Amino acid sequence: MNKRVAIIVGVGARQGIGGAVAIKAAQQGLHVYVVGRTQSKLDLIVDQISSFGGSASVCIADCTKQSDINAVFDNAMAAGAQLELVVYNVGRNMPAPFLEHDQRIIEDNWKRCVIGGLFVGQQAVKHFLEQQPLANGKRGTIIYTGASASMRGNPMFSGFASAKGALRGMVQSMQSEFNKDGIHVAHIVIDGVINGELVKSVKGLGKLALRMKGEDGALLPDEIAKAFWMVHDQQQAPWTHELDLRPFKEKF
Amino acid sequence: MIIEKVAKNLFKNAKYSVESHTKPTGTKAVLIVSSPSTSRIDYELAKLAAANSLPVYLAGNDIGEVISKLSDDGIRVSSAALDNENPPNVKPLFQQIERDGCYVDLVIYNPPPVEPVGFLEITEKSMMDAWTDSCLLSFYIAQAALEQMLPRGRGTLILGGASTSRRGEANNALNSTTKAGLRLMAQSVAREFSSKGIHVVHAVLDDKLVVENSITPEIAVGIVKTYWELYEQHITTWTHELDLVL
Repeated sequence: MNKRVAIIVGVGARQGIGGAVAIKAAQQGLHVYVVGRTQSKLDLIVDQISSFGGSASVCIADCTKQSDINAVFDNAMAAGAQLELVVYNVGRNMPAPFLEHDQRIIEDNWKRCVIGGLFVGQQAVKHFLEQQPLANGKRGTIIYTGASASMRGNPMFSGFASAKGALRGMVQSMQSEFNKDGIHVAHIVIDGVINGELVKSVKGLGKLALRMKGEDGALLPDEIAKAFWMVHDQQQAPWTHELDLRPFKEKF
Repeated sequence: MIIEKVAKNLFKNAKYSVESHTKPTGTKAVLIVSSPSTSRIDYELAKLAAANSLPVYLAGNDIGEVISKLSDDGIRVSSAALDNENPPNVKPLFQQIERDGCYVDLVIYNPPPVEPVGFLEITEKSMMDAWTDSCLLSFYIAQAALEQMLPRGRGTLILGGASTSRRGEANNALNSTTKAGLRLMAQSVAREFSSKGIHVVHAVLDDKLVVENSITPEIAVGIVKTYWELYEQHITTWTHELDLVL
């Protein structure tokens, strides 16, 4: 039997969505390809997975390059894989006034969110269509990470919101196109501050943001990962196309 | 480093609010960035603006027919071709308007839709091209328009969407993606500039109108009537989004 495989694109620190989802998938017995830009961070994730007896491989890739993404999938599938889960978790939101959005900012957002999401989505769909359905009748799951900005364009976030909203439109279009083939495409909307490595790396401001949210006011990566797995574990009909995740005290 | 960037950007934002206190003068003008798919709307709009004694600027690369129809009606508009850059550089157009002693008070752009294709047929190039027309050009039009609107503390920007802007559909990911991108950009700009007197509208046209190009003259008159009423809405009662369905 081919080994069950997950490809998680957009992995950085252990305490981030990508890292937490990679660990979760490995705990559930999948071989995980952790795809990101920073070797040292990915090595840490793979080490942790090995420490509990799971298996994983590091793939360094720039998600905005088609050749990099193709190589990730070719590499994973060449080893005789049954691809089960693909996650696209790329994007960085940096506030900037609308009038300061130059072509570089607008295009960086677009490429990271949409073009990378397109490359990964196309590869995932192609491979899912080529392989036999899984035991539960599904061909596989593709999960995209969304943000509050996917639903709502807030001031100072025109570039990010535009790209995230566009990605959501693309996901809806994929759902409507591939539902019938048993390919489960889902959009998980994170609405709140994530209590992870990224916010802590923004020293004073990050701490302040966390403190303002108060106790249990920020999302925990491992808890987010549980929701990702819940969606992947759903059988066909009924399954979830979109769900949101926010702390109990977050206003919305 | 990130803190510095955020702080710097917040400061820049404050700068724009300070600048908006000065109120230069000039003549109000209407700018229509026209594309073939909405040429009937653009024609009716130019007529209505002219009837309201506002100078009209019509920009685009395929506007000959609209111009000659208007000229048959005895209506003169200033027209401008867009250059062949990708996206076109809109700055010269706005500079021309300023040189004429005018400023844009109403700007309208309905980006053209692209042919629907299956998700797997989309290429990096087709996605980037669709985005350039629909999203990136809209960013530039809005930025240039705001430069004239902000100092006066007023102005209306109407951006055209389609049903697919709000709900992606099978075999239409190119339009669903790029149009949702435009929609969220419009929301963000509205939330950033409403309090400074800038009215940003996202008008969602029925997909049947946009994709099948079935805008009859009667439908165009109806759409334009609504656009004009949006333009004239009181500052206490602004619409940001509405749909126009068949």
